[in-house]
Amino acid sequence: MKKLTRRGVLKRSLKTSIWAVGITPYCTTLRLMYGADFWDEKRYHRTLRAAADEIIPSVDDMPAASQVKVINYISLVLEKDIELLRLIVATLDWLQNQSQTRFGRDFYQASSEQRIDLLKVLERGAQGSEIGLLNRVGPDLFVAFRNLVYEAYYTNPEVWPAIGYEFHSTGGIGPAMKPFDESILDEVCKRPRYYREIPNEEGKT
Amino acid sequence: MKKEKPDILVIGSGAAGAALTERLSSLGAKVVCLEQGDWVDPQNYPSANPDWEASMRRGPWNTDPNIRRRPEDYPVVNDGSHPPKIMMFNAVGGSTIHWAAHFVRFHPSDFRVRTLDGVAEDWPICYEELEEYYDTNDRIIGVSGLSGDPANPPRTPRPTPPLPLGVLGETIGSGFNKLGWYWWVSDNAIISRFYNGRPPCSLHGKCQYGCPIAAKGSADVTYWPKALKNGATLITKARVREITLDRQGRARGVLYYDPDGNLHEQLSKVVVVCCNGVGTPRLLLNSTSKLFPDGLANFSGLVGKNFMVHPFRFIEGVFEERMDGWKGPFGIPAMSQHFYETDSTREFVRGYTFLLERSHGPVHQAWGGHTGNPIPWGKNHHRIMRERFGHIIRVSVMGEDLPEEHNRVELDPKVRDSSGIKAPRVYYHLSENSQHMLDHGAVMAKRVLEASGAYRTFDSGPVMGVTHLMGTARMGIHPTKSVVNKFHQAHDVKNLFIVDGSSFVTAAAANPTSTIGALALRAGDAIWDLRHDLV
Repeated sequence: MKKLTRRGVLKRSLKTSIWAVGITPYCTTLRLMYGADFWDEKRYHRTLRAAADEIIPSVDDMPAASQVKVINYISLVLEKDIELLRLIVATLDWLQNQSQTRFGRDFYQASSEQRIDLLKVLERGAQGSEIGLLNRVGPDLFVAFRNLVYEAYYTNPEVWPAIGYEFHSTGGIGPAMKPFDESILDEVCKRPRYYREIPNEEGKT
Repeated sequence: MKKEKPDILVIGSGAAGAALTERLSSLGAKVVCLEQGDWVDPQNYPSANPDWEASMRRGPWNTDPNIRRRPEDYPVVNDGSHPPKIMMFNAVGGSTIHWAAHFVRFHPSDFRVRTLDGVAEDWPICYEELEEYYDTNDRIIGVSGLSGDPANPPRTPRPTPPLPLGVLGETIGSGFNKLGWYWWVSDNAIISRFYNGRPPCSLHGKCQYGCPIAAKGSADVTYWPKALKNGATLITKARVREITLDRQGRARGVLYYDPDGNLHEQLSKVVVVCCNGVGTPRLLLNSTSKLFPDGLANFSGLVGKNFMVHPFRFIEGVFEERMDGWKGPFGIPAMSQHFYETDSTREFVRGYTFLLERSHGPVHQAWGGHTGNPIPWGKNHHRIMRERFGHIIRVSVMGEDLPEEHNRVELDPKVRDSSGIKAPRVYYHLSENSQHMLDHGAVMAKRVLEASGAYRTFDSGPVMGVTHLMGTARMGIHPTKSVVNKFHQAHDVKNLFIVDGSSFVTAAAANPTSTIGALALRAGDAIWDLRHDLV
């Protein structure tokens, strides 16, 4: 398997400004929905990045979520899915508010342990994890967020070599596979008939 | 606006409607088919894109119409103690568009369950009556596989040889061999060689998300080109609201909506309903009249009842070696019917099939695979992902459901589709027989996975994602116990026929599409033979 280096991935990621790509349209939508005071773009994206990087952190040769353009991907998905956008924003807002309440700091500035602690609260659905704005409960929102981060991460072709996955578009050539070899059924072929025969009206099968 | 009156009006263009239309049009009948969906453009299949797995969760390719919400979809309300998640696809080709293409046949015993095992009912036909139609259907669809399975009756040589088993298939096969259990390479409606102008499978493994090269034998690329060449007419984006009757109580035709919401009438000499095991009872129950206040052809009260599915349970085995389950067609590489038939020493009657299955890609694995075990987030994520992704073999236990009247399709009193037509409400309770069957299957699946070398297994428990929809307008001899006779002719309406999974009397432990196609071909012949008596 080809190994990704953290440095290599980071270099490529930094070339793309997430501020320029895909953020503006749904920011406008959110302002219209919630009002300008509620919405703080920079804080949102910092919270999103910090949370995503706890869901999939960098370990050994594997990059963190934000290092493989997960934020970009999520931004583009949320542009098209208002329902999901509301869930994700409400979830991130909860994390931010809880971080302020419990730790006296923004979520992205909390320590990793503190951030993980809050995510676990959300995942478990412990007291206080209700998302009042949407009248939803923490765990299902956590699952939606986690799954979105997973989707964004593993849809990135940069990650695939590290996990041994080859994507073959149905427009092109597929994977190489050894042709079927009948000899694997030799043992089965020696066995007797195994289905139930039904007697006809004369009692013969 | 009145249309010219054809001989046969077919409602639904899926596995049954397509085969029936082709058969009747080849015999010389003038056939019109109404389909509420449209042709699917292969260019739009998500399988061509790196984010194809996302389409499993969101957007217009989800198999669940309640999530997909295309204009042609209708809501399905799921209810009962085990609410089923109904999966179907509304388009030319119907649910064969997102089909995995596993193409097994029923066994002879499946047609005689009452006689043999004292439960359910017997079909009014037997396996031998269907055999030639199975063969014809296989030839038209294009099937890969291998004759000689001792767990099935002998059959003609398969049109194309088996698809590759891959490391996955060879590994699990060795496990079955070690235990001395029966297993065989499966028939799939996916060709492995050039066949009838279609190229062979390229082994991409995204069969459920569209096969743009037409290696998968969905009805839109097999039966429909032939039917149209025979002169059949297919009207798409035509949503049938109800079947109407004449003064003699015979089917007169249908009323349907076009995409602009205009109502049209299509008359016909004969009407055939092919709308699947949920859509068919829905249409019949929505077609009320003075003669049929409880739904068309429903004097028996059985329209919508005896709804059967295939209860599933997934067992995933994790291996040290790579199995690369994402390689190869998603149609089933191999299966085992070792526990198919009733064994009186067990706690249940009838039996199940093991489907030895492949996997989707890394996103699906991270989400939890088929057993609902997501890869943990946090510092252990990468390690566990590497342990599991590409290292899993799934054994799916597919059980035979028994018909029970309380499992049923009714009309929801409040929910309607975008045309204002009442939506179906599906009630389902997983029987004790099925639960025992799945428990047994889980134990045996674990055993064979461990025999194959798995060091750990995951178990989904009973799964209610349901794509095999059967029994809701079943065949039978007695009008009080069935909706249609052995020729799929409604007992109560002489020129009305019902041909799809709803006609099934028993579910078998076999994927239904092959049998649906065979029944449709046979019904086509029957309708043609009866044609002078129907008008």
